[in-house]
Amino acid sequence: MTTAMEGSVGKNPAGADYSSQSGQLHFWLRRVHSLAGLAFGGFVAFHLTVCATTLSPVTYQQEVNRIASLGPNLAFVEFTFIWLPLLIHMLYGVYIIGRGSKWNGVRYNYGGNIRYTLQRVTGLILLVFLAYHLATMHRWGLALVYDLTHWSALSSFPWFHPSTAYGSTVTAIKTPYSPNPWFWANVISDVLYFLGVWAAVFHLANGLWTAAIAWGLTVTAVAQRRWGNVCLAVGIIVGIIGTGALLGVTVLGKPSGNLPETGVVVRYMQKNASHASARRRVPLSTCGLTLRPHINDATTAAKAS
Amino acid sequence: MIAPAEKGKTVKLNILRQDSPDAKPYWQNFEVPCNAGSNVTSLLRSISESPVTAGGAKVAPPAYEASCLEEVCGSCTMVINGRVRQACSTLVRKIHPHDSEEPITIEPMTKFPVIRDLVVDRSRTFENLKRIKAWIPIDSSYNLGPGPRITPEEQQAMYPLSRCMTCGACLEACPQFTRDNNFVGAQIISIARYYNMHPNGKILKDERMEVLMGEGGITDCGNAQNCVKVCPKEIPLTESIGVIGRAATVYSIKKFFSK
Ligand code: HEM
Ligand code: SF4
Ligand code: FES
Repeated sequence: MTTAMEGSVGKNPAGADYSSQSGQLHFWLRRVHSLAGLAFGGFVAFHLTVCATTLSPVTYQQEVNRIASLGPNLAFVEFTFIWLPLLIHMLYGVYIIGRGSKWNGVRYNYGGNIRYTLQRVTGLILLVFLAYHLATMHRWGLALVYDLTHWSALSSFPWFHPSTAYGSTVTAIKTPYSPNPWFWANVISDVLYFLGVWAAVFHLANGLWTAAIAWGLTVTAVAQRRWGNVCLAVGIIVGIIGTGALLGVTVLGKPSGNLPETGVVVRYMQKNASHASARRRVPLSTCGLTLRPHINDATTAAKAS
Repeated sequence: MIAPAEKGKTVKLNILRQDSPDAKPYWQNFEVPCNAGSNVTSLLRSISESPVTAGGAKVAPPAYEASCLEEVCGSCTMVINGRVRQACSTLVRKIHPHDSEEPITIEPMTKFPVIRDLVVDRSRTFENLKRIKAWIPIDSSYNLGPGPRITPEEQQAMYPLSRCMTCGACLEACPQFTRDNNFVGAQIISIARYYNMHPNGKILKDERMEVLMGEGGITDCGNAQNCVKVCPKEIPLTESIGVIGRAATVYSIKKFFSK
């Protein structure tokens, strides 16, 4: 349809072409970003539930064993439900934040605007926290360096270890400087974990609320308020579970609470321990963390001596 | 009830001035008579009548826009005490505590280029109205006869949307609408919904959706929902955003599979 006015349609400030196919890339990516956020949110709820079982170390070990029993399939599950959605959501989230907005939560301090600002702030907190989480649980980077160099200075760094799930989780959250839970650096680490988990809970609950608007599920103000209450309830429930997980691994955690090495993981390890070449081919992982066989060797060796 | 005018009462104003589009803005203080019924436009008018600063310097009167004086044209929209408002309908006694020594701050809107003092260039909104084809196509080489009937129910749903006066308040308050991006903002999304509801306006619905799914369209909404809070015409802007979001979901599926 052509109209007389069409010729006079001016350029927008950035000079972008509104209706071209590439002009709509942002729309499609934004919808993918939303789906990825929801998928990763599902994982976060599951993950916090598993970690809340640290309140009962035996149950926690059983859950970890169950996850580890997926064996090599776990890598596939992790990739589809954790890494891929997280990577997409995180990268595009940073792009959304970075493409310019004028936060004005102080000037216009309405609830919706404060939640808008917090959605972005918690996104940035999560960016830092997830990096810290991977660093504490897996010493990513350091573990790789250790793998390549066997540099002894790194061998004292603890990380998550499915066969001694409970003890290694609690130890990994502590800084390597002291096992004392009230050592200042450990307190900072715990605080980071509380901040990170609660940021994730808010970001997830509020994300459920905005996603419903973005997709057009909730339209009227009444429907948005009603769905908002559901999101609040989800947030409270996931928050309670998350707090259970936090307590279980921080203040209530006992670093020395290692359980006997039982379960599939160990059996799997023992089966492969004799084949040095098998190390590379059997990536064991759980909770998004790849188990590194040599650590297990080290633990076994330590036990034997 | 109209309170009696108080003799000799004055109020201090702190106005952000700018001599030309590229000039540096600067603050200037004034002190003007104020009575119980004064609104911000009337204060600005008193300054124009005798443009003398609080320090006694004679200056060029601050430029401002006003037309309807009853909150239906939107031309007097500016930032008053840090919040976007229509100067003509902003009663001084509503925003300013009695006897307060604090000045009222008056600034031009921050999301549009300043032409001079409190006058801004809102042509971006007009360009966006054109871009989403905010009209009803009735051009023809012969008489098309009377248009389709609109039921009273439809009229009731459409009327609130028709009240938009393109004042720009929703855009000023929106954290996602900035000077250097190309987000169209709540106003345009709501107007698109309005024309999509009209039986003849519907003809251009797909074309509007193409635009709203493009750069600067519905995707850039971040659901801060300030727009609906500041809109002086109480337009259900967030509902319009939800409606267009839903239409975009439906249209994108349709487009993906059949276009
Ligand atoms: C625990 C991890 C995370 C979860 C569960 C999560 C989940 C979600 C969900 C469900 C949404 C709603 C999507 C929508 O409105 O359609 C969302 C929005 C958002 N996320 Fe995340 N996210 C996480 C981490 C991050 C990170 C690390 C960033 C980047 C720094 C980020 C940035 C954003 C942004 C900017 C939005 C708002 C998008 C908008 O309203 O336009 N998120 N997130
Ligand atoms: S929607 Fe309301 S605030 Fe926005 S331009 Fe129209 S009248 Fe002004
Ligand atoms: S002069 Fe028309 S809205 Fe104020």
